[in-house]
Amino acid sequence: MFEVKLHDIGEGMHEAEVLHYFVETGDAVKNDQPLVEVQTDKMNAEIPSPRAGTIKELKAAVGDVVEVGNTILVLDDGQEASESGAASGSEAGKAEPAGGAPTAVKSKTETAAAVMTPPRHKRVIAAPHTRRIAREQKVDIEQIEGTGKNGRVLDEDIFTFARNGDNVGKATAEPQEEMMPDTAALSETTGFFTLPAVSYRREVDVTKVQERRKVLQEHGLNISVTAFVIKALQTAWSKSSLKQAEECHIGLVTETETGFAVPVLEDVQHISLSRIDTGRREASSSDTAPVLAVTNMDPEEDTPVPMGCTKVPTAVLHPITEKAAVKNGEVSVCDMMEVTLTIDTRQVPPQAAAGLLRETAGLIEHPDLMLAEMV
Amino acid sequence: MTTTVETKNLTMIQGINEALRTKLEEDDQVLVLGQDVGVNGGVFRATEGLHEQFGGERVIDTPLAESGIVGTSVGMAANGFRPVAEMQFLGFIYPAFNQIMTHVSRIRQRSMGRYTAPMVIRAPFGAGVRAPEVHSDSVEALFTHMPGVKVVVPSNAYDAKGLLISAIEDPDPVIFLEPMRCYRSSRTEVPEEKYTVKLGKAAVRREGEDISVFTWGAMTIETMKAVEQVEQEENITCDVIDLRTLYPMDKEAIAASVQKTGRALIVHEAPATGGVSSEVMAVINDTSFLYLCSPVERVCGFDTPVPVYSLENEYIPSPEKIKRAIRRSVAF
Repeated sequence: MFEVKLHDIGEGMHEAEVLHYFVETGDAVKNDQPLVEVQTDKMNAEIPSPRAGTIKELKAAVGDVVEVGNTILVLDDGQEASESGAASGSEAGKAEPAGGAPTAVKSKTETAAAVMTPPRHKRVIAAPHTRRIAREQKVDIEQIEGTGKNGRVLDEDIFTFARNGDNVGKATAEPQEEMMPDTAALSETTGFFTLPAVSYRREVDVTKVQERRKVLQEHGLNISVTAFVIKALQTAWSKSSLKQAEECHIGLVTETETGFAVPVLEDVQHISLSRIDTGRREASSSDTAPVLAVTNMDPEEDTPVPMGCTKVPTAVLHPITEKAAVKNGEVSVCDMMEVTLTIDTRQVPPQAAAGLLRETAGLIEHPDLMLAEMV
Repeated sequence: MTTTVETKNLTMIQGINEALRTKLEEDDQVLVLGQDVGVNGGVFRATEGLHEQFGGERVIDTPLAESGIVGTSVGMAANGFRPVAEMQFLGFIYPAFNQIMTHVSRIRQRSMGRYTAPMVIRAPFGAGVRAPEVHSDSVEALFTHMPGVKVVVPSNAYDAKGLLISAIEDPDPVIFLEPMRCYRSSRTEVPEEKYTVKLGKAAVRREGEDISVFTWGAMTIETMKAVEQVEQEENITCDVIDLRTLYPMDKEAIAASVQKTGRALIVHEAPATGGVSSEVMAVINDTSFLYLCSPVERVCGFDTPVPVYSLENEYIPSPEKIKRAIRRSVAF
């Protein structure tokens, strides 16, 4: 059973006259279906049904003046216990517009909210001075049992905790080998605004590389496209004006769970295709290939090279897709890969960089040419 | 070669008299005016002998009209004089409040700097001398809340002379509040020649480690008694800072002391609510929150007018009350 009461319909009215019913005893009603029209000193209003059910009893007769909070009719909603619907003025809240059974609904939301509220942080009693010491000692004051009055955390408690909790502190404070994401992000952002970066982009046809890979696979050699590109880059670089020394170290920008890492492949000019792949896998445990940076990077330097903003020319390889390409006036489907080469114009002459990309692309598109460069 | 400074052992009222004499001698734009400041020599003898020395055109007896005294002064100040007006008691300044608030404090701003009011309003104040109603008010907060005027409160002869000379030389108006209880309660060695004490600088009266006590005026007397006792009896040592200038307040001195001791107490005899202690607390909060070991304490007058003199001692912060607050803070 559910009692539909006259709730506070606003404007400071505390009573209303029942004008007429839209329903009769025994009628089945839906939620929100108008039940009755009432009139106050200020307005006429329809009271909708707060829930589905059957009209059990009309308590107030037409013409009766009902006060806020009194029952107008009783609804059989299939529930045993008699619930009080709608609301007295204070419960419903003055601002509650006409309609609904606020009390019942409200209490339910409150319960849900109570269940969902996350546990509060421990309330620590400590003087500001003590809190400052905790901050300076990098100690989470909430973990400390205070020994002062009413459990207040004292200065000594912080120092004791800092001494004893050494290991606990270290475990979390241990510096990470890789750059943390926020640091990487910061460095990337700073780079974005400070480095005079220029990017060249080129679509490279890797169809022939794919064919050679198949042949090699048949001989049990699994060599990645990335390895071909690295070898091509090194070959092009070794012949270019960019070459300052024989050694061609190539950094591999790898995205890890904790940010960027740049393992470095040393002396690529001495490494064969198959060994590039092994070296590359060893260098970076997680094989997330598409973000890969390259070139004469000092192996001592472990500064990550954020993609797109770097002091050394960085080639970014994009995923291979099948595309329509025009060759000799005919359209054919090719495996295409986009390569973007980003340079810092303070470090590298743009013309030379463009040449490097062009040469590299040529080698990738005609991998047989690399045979001539084999060491 | 050694230089010796000739000094005299003076009471505060004598120090004030010397400051006035020094400036009257040195600068003929300086005038002294007020009720009975001339022939009579002032209600507390601050202007004694000045009328004889400088004549009635420079040491002027005015009618009993505080509004007129201040109004005349601001007009003269805007026109090049440096008037030093005396209110017989700070509690009598209320008729002049309108002049101070609407003209003295803002003539510089109103005229966009074309006119200034280089003037001083001197007023004895504070309870503890068994004066009748109104005479004992400590309403320094009425003036610290008034942008455009400086508020200075000396507590001894040396500061009184140096601060008053600074106040007279200041290009803007200064309210110079003289605690009556300090007029003759102690003597200090005071240089005979002219010197100044910079406005806006507090003085460290005593150094300690456990708590900073901020006070001014006559309450330095009670405070010094209290801190000497807690040091002897309980080995609690206190920094005692005499603020001397309440506006502009010496925030650096407040911060430095609180950051050293980690605890603070403010003592003033004015009612606590809206008193200058609230401002000191705000400075501590702004500058030194993370240095606090305990809540800032204050010992002030009650939120009532100063009572009749038979109850005065209950009203004024006593060494006992100050000691209790110190202990409360240290034991927090």
